[in-house]
Amino acid sequence: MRPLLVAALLVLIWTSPVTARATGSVLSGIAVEDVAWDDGTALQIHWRTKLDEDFRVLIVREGTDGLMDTLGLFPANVQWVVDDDVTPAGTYRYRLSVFDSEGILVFTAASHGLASPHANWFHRGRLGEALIILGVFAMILWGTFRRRDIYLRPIGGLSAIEEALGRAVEMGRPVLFSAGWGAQLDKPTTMAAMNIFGWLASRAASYDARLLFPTHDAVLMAAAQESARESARIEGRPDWYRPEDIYYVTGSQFGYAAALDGIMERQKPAVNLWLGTFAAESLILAETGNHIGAVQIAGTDSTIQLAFFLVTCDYTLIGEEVFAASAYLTRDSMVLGGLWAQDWLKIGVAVTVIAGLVGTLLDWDAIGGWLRGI
Amino acid sequence: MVGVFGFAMLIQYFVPHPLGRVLYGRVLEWMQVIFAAGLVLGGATYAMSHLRTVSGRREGWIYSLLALAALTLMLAAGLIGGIDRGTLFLWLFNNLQAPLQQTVFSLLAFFVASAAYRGFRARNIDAALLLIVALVVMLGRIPIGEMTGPFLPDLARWLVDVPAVAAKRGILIGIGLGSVAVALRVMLGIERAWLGGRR
Amino acid sequence: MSDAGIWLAAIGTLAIFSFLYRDNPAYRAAEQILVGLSVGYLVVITVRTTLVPKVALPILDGDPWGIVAAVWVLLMWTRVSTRAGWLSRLPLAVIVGAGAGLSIPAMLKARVLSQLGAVIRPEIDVNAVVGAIGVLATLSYFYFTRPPTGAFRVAARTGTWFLMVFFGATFGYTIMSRLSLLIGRTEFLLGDWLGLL
Repeated sequence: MRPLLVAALLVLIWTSPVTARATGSVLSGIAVEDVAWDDGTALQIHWRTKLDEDFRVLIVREGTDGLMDTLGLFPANVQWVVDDDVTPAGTYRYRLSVFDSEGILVFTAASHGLASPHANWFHRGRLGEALIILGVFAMILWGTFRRRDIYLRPIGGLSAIEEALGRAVEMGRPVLFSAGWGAQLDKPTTMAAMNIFGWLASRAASYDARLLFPTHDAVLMAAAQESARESARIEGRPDWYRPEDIYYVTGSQFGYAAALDGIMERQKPAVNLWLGTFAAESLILAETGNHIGAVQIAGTDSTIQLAFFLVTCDYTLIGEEVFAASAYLTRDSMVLGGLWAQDWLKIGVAVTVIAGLVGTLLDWDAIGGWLRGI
Repeated sequence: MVGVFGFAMLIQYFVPHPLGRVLYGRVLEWMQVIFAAGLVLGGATYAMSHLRTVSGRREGWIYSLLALAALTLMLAAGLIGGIDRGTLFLWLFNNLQAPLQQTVFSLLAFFVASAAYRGFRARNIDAALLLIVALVVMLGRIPIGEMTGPFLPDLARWLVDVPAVAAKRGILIGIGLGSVAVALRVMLGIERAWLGGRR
Repeated sequence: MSDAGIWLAAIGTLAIFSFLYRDNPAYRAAEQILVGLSVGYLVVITVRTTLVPKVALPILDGDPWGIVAAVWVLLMWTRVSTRAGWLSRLPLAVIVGAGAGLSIPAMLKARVLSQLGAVIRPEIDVNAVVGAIGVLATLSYFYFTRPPTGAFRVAARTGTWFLMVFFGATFGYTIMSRLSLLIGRTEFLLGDWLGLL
């Protein structure tokens, strides 16, 4: 029954002549505009009035397809409403009807002509993020191309990798590498881990150490094989590359863990490198590695697994240290410069925190409010 | 190629126009298809390597035979018989694969215990701090901890909610900055070691 | 679970547990079966949920995008050939490139900006101050390009303590949930299988 009643009411309002007691002065300047900088799904309806909030405006949308929809009842004095339920390039007309506090219709009028929302090429709501990204880019690029000597505080786990490689060669045992079950080539952490792997492959090629990389993902396997082959070629040791040492095991998390446990027990690697994104398998791997007496160096962005690596491995790279690793290992001046820029960005972060908190103390929550809003 | 796709996907984040959405959806679908193709490729390389072991009668070939049998059984069951309720495919998954996976997962209980034992040999003040907090949080979560009054559970909750969260945020911010820097370098081709290249 | 199923699961469970003693033929067999089954499982699911609906069916429907998708698949599969294998670098570049582009705004938002928003709270109390100090100290621990001296050293050291509290907290928190896993498996062995519970 109710939908019928509403529909009847809508038709009545739509077809009724302007029944204003005080025409024009009640509601004037009804206009519909496209909302700028959006995906073309919103129109803004505004009007002018001197009425107070006791008067309500019922807004009804009519599409060119003949469909009518009620947007709702709004206080007259808000003077504008956004309809974000329209489709790009559709055409619409709106009818506004004013009711007084007793619910009596005092005025009704429609917008002039048809309005149509447009899709834009820039999202204004993301302007702040765009500016921040540009700033971050500028900073990183400046650091990258600045080329100056940069001090690096030592990171134990990274200097230990080269030593560990030497140990593996002495013992005549392989080095085992894994980027973790959570690794995927489209994630920056995995890219960082693969950068370490590329460096590792060229060192292993020059030492002639055997490097095993059982993967849980064949895309990762393909990238690692390309990386190892290229590294061996650059080192002048193309014969070192053995595609069968970089192989797909399974994408099942615990199937992968079970297989790596078996590989460790049977091949007895001298060094285990757990660098990438890990989930619950981290501890299964690292404890088995401990059991076989391997030197273990771990590094991950998985915050929950860090504690387990810390307890079971000889060295653990924490979060950002994994990303810094390629700068440390390759000593590439551009990558080092990027690290220098990252440090300045951290200072920027710290200044923001302090400014935000001081602002809060002074009852000015603009920074925090904006950050929480995005 | 890396740069083109990288900047296209970065820019579309700021483009509300439907064309941006179309591009986004298309590229995401391609990524999905590439990962899927990779998975089938992985299965093929897996089968190949076990076939080589079996045909060469190399060490452990009998296990490779088991692996191949399991693989073939599952493939045949799933591709021919279907994957709905009551099929062999689901029966194999529920009665063999899933319990095996759960058991490997449950090995963690033992490993957590041995890791904790290792942690007990606190080598320095940092390790000691880690251990004490771990104990407080553990005790705070079990009924014995609550019997000693509200202090332990309250302390545990505070440690988890305030200083631990602060450190986690610090780690995450560092990871965020590191990720952006690596992603940008990869997009610009400054860092190519992921494919073995050098500048 | 059927009777045969319970026996199968029980034998598998025991075989996996035997690894705790040492690597042995039973574990190795269970491991190979698990890996083989799981590879088969994933291939079946992937073919049925991605390759058929996103590649095969569109091609049969005459959708040109299906052909583009098929090209990516074939490029990826060139890896089986030693001569054409380099072509697989193209789909790899799509994954890495698109992944990098997508992750920049996502990482900045989720890992940096929203974390900052949570640190800068609208009202200040002791916890807010401790939280802010913790974040700043942890960040100074991750400062790479400056020698740790003076006040900076103190900050980085404080950062290590905050980190240790975090690691301790996750460790303590996770131990409990891992123990419940073991209880689950034991219940299966004693209850479902042997009927003792």
